[in-house]
Amino acid sequence: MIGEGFASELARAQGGDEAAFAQLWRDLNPALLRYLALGGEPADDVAAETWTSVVKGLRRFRGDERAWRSWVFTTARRRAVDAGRRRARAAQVEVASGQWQVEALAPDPADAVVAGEDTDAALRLVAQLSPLQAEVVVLRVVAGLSVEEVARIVGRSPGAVRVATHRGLRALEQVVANQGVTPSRAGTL
Amino acid sequence: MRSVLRNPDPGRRPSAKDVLPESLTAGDEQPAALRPLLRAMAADPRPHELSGFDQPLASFRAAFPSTRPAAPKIWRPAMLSTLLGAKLGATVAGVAVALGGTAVAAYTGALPTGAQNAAHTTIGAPAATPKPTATPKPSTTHQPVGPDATGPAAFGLCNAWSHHQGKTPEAGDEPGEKAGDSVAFRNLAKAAGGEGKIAAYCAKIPHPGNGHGNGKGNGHGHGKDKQAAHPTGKPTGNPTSTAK
Repeated sequence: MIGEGFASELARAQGGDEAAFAQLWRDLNPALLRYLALGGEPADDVAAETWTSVVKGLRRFRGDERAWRSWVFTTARRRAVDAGRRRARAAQVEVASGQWQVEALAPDPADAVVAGEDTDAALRLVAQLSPLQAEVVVLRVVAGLSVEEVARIVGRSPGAVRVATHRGLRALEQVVANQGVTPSRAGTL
Repeated sequence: MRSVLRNPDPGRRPSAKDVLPESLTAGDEQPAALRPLLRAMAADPRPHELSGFDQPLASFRAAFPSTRPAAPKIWRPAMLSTLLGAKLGATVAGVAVALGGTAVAAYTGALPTGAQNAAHTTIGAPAATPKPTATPKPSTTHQPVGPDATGPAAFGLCNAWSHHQGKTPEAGDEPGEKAGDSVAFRNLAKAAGGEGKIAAYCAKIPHPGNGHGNGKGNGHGHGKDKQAAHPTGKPTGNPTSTAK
């Protein structure tokens, strides 16, 4: 979060100031990449498409920093869906079977999370939740959005977002709690 | 997003009876066992997460093109065209000087649009040779002098004037542009002894330089012509036939 200086940074960026735009980008791009890592698409590509869309609408945007973050993540979600549809059309058969193969061979992410604070490992762990749970957890924890904001982004009711968040966190808690005893079960979450 | 997520829903749900704190961002309320994982998810940016600014910057520059300092790819053609423009202007000025002092006015837009075009076609370089006493009224100001309507330029001016007379007023000219506004027209009117006498004056101007003998008699020949009666016609449409 940029905080107090956000309004002036946004105004300068909307006036064409590259440094101000870079500041906005630096503040949000890491969270954006972590959110997009949940999807099967290359997060860098989708993030770049997201920023392209954001820049196109930048002049028209009005709102505070919370609205800004909501807007950027809403845009990111649309670009991710677009990318998913493109990929689905391009390779309909082989990807579905190949994906599980890769996941099964990957090292257990829970090991790394407990040992250190590996961001990628934590995100891989979250990615094993149900799609809705994973998405709402990342939007709440990483993007720092409120329940209501997340609800608008994912197109669900605030109640559904609360439930999905709780269930996702409970599942993660169980994985972490059980990880020391039976690490191999983490992958079956 | 559901459709693009990598893993299918395993379908196995943990118990929902456990109540977790509403606010995830308030670290103190998170379950202790989850804190390391949540901290890892929201950890400080890694270098590779801040390394892909090229493409967003390119998008930004495309959307806000006028605000950044001029890049070489932009200003080189602009500078080239500037130089080209300067060279072109110098060429035009040089040509105008070469044509002689009084003819400059006709080439620099002292005539109305229609008259200017006609003057351009009729005042050739040889015909536009000015007399040394080109300025009947030596001006102390910087007003344009215009061509001398009593000299060799008279035929061209008359030609331009007659073309202008044939036009519907205001049809193609710029608003406010009138023949009476131009220096050349005033010179012509002065040489004729008044605006109303231009037609008669022009009728006496011989066609310069064509093959047949253009003695003074030719000028008298059509001096009684009725061009003054119908100024909207084209009396100089084929000057050789009228001169005969």
